[in-house]
Amino acid sequence: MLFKYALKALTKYKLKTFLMFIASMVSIASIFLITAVSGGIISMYSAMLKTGGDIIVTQKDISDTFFSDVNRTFATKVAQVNGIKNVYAIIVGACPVNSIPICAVYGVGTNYYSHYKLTNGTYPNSKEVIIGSNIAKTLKNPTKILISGKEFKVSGVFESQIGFEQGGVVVPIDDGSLLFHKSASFLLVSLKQDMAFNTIKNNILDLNNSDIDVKTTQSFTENYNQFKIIRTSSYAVSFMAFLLGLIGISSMMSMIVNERKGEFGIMRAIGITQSRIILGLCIEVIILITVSFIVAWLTSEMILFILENIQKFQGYISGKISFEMLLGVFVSSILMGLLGAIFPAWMASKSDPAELIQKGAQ
Amino acid sequence: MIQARNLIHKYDFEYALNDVSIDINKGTFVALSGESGSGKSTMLSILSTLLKPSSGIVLLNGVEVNNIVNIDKFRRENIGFVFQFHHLIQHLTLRENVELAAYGEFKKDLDSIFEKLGILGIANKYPNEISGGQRQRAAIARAIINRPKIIFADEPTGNLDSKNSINIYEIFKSLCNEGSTIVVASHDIGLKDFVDKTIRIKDGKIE
Repeated sequence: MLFKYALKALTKYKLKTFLMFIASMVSIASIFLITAVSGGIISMYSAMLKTGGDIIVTQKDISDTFFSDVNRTFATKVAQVNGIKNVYAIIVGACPVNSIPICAVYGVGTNYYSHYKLTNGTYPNSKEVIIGSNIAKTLKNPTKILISGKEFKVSGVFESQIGFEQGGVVVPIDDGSLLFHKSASFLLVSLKQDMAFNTIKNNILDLNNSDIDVKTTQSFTENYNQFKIIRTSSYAVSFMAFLLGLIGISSMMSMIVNERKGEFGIMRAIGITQSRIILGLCIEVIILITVSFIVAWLTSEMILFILENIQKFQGYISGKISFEMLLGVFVSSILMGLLGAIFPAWMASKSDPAELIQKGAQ
Repeated sequence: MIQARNLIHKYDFEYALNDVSIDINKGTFVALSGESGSGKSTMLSILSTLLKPSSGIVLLNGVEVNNIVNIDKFRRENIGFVFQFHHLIQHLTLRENVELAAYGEFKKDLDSIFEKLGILGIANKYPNEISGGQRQRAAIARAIINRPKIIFADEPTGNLDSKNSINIYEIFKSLCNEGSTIVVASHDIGLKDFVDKTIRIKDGKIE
């Protein structure tokens, strides 16, 4: 009965229900989008590191891989440590490419080329590059490109599941060194099976303890400063969206409750308990939030799809809504609705039935 | 049995009731009459537990109202209320309006009460689809669904023509004959033909 009553009340006050729906839907969609997009940035960069190796060797005490400089001759020494399968020296940088003001550029050694699946052409020699299919489309399949004003021949196009690579350029590591004035940003190390990380870490540190830092790629991505900044910003913006939704619901509910004061007064007069009145309003909000959540989810999926396919963004903006995120946002949304509704509902439950009689007597 | 002792109620500095005491026996049909502003609606509100008096006590079937912990539950189990303007919830059908008030085993009596009040055929209609008399009968159905011992009605025929008014009084009379105590606040002189007792209130006092 309460469910049916809640549905009827929602349809009766169409405009206010619609406004409350819009407020909560926009708020939930904002939470979805900011979480998915920031999560996408983190997962793209994490995936890039994790698929490349199990261990990452960076310059000691740097906050960002962009600022790290590791001498790549060190890679030869690391490769000789027992239990290590492969070592890849990689430069990560960003600079203008043709008309694109900022573009990811990777300098990699020949042993890392197979990581990029070519769809046409060949792997690059000196003064040549391979480019991701997204940037190839944006630049209309160029045969030559300018990276920071230096000309490179495009030797091939590759496909990658990672947006940052799809929209990026891969150059031989020697050319990368010239472009970014560093030997390597970091070394990615892949291990033979069942090797203990701590032993290998100590063996690598024994080679050069003063200038480098050794971490598993998993631990690196979990503690990476840039990711922490992105995560914290995303939580802050999501919290603001949550608050805006809460305020929207709370103010609309206050108006609805005020308009329906007589109705709640009648309920009190006919013996409906205060807790049942509060429960009824909470059910209304839960129904509304559930609908808003579904619409916000579908809208967010659509927006994420559009963002991912906008040429201008080169696939750098890519977000996925996972089951865990769905569950988390759903719980937050219900919480937002209930927090927004609880005070107006409590006020409603206090409606004075005697007022109705006084009005009638006038 | 309804007992009120030394009831005083003030709105700001004005006395709506001034030291009023009354006794209403179980199973009687009582009218509270008086002009607009005389204090009869205030009296009804206090007797029906909807309003707390400034001072004085009310006992309903021997229970002092001030000592009741769960007033909503007490009201639901003991009191039915009929308002002047029916106050049915507009977005619910008559059946849903009554269902909302019904609790426990009383839900099954809904059809028989509707039939008794002659509104079974319109039970699925909304309040704005029926006449004033039908609305007031639906309001009575809502008031009696939980078989309350006492029914209060505030100007229940205030918006009805004489034919519908008589019909409503007849319903109250038959409920009274079945053992309910009925207290109606009204200035309709036609009511005197149906009631066992009339209490006349003037300027907050019993005449």
